[in-house]
Amino acid sequence: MHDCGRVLHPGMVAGQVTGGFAHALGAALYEEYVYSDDGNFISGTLADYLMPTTTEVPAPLILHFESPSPFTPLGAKGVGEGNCMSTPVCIANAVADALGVAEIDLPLTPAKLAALMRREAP
Amino acid sequence: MKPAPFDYVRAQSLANAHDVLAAEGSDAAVIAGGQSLVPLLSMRMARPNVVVDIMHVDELGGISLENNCIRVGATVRQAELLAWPDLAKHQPLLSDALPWVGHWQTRARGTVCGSVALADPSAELPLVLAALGGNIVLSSKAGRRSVKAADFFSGIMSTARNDDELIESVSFPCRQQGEGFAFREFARRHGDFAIVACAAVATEKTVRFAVGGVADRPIVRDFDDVSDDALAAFADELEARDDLHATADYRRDLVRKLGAQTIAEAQACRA
Repeated sequence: MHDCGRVLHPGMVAGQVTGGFAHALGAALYEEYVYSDDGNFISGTLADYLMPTTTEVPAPLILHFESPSPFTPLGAKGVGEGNCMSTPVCIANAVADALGVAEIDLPLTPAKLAALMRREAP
Repeated sequence: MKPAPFDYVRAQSLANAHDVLAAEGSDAAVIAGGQSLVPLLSMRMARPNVVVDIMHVDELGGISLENNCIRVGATVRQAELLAWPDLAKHQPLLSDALPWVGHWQTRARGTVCGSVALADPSAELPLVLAALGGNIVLSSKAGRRSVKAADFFSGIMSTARNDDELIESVSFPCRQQGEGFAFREFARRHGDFAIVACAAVATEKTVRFAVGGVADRPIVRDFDDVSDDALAAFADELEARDDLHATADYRRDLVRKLGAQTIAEAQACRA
């Protein structure tokens, strides 16, 4: 659900929101600067620094809440970067809620998630 | 980055390629599809003096049935083998695994033998070759020899190939009556190198299970009885690695879970 004030161009807003969502998935699940114990940078290529591609990004269901801004001539606010911030939090909170853990480090890699689940196992 | 300078030789015949390899030894690198070698050159992880292109050697091409095996020549691209009409009939494990090799675009250039020659521990084709107990035919100026997959892969990107040899062909045994096959893998993104890849061949009484991406080479084990305990014990014995993408513990987890699914699927596909 987004509020960018008055939607001036629905297609462009959807594109911005989808792009922000893809970036957010990267931040939450894939992208990481990794250094080895001796200080070598080991995610320095795009084979190791993973960015989500079309196969990793589901199409989000986008809902709009239009509350026109009283401060701009067209009632528009801004759009695009909002869910770079909200999506990672949603994913981390969902996992924290499901597993009953307080702290989640992003990016949440499969190996980290498996380790969290092992810790929770009886 | 750009590669360090090197000489390029387009081999006109197999003998021509053998001559260059005999003269240059470890300073020469054979190029076929170039999908692994070219990035290695560009990152300067490989710095050969001479790159020998074998793609124009006619005698190294072709897919054929020989001694109940699918023989794949050195210049056969992965996409060509995948498009071979009889592939699924003669060896379903190969047709199941090939779509996992890289991407559509890289399969259009990369060769089957090239992937075997590179011996990346998480690559699909070395895993399938090891699971099926296939053969690699190597040749040099001195002659030709055939090596079993079990003796060929010796470590991370390391094989029994001598510096003056090239792979002429690899042979994948055809399916036998009553065998069931399955292939599964897990990677963080579609088309990435596998964190764990599993291949299973089920017969009436036994299961051959092979796993890639975990140890320094494909590991193959024959099970008479594949209980969860037996699979868990196998996973614990594996010399799993920690790396950027996964921990050793996570790899063992995947071997247990993905392995059990792969084996169940192979058993269900039997007959």
